[in-house]
Amino acid sequence: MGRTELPTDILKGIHVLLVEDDDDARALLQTVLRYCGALVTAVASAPEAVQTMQRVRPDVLLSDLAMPHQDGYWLIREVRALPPERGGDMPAIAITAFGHPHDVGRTLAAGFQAHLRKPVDPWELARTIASLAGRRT
Amino acid sequence: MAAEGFFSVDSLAGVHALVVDHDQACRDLLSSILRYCGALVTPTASSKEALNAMSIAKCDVVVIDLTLRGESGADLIRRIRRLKPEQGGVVRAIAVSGRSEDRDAAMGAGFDAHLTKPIEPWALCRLVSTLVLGGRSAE
Repeated sequence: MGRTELPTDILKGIHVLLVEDDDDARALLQTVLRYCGALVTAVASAPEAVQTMQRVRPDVLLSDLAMPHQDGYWLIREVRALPPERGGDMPAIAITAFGHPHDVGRTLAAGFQAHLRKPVDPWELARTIASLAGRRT
Repeated sequence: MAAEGFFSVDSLAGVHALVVDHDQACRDLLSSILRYCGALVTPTASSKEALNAMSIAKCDVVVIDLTLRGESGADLIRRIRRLKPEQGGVVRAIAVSGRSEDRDAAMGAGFDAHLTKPIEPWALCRLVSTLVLGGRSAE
């Protein structure tokens, strides 16, 4: 997808669970995802994400790695411990802040499928989610 | 006039615009115009808020009121121009102010263009299109 194509439909019909403790980042990422057509459930902590997954089934998990108390690594361990019918095999994307360690090998080994660094390119984020959700881009 | 100046509602689809204006009414107006033309818009009220937003998601263009409270619009664009590409520093920039005489100072500070209020909506959208998309949609 380049800018010659409309990105506003690229995530239509995809439910994204966004996990981000920073209010500003959560709001901005939510705006990006909704602009691209996604249904977004946004939560502020990893335990909230686990609770949410008991109630609804997201298609893709998008999580900050550095969060107080339980971080993104804790979250992906919890998710991968679930059976597939409860979201245990859900595609997952990690996000880290600029300047934080960007150890892609560790992130992928932990169970994430992709790792993006802030500031994220909104269109790269949308493409990555669409691709992991099995959507052609 | 309106019919001649009409700009397609999806012409700026795929463009992320950061609006920086301390005046809420003006911020809302600029954001509405850009959204109407299809852009993804992040409105912010200060230099600090703008830089924070730029640390979260990259944008394609910034539209900055020169008379920001605290740090001025010129100060802000100088800081943006010092950002590395991986920090979101490569971005097109439009200055907005109430005086056409501000143009030279704005360009000298690092803006790519200057618009004088009252802003003509389609001129703003055409300018964003020209700067970001190379004028593809402005034709």
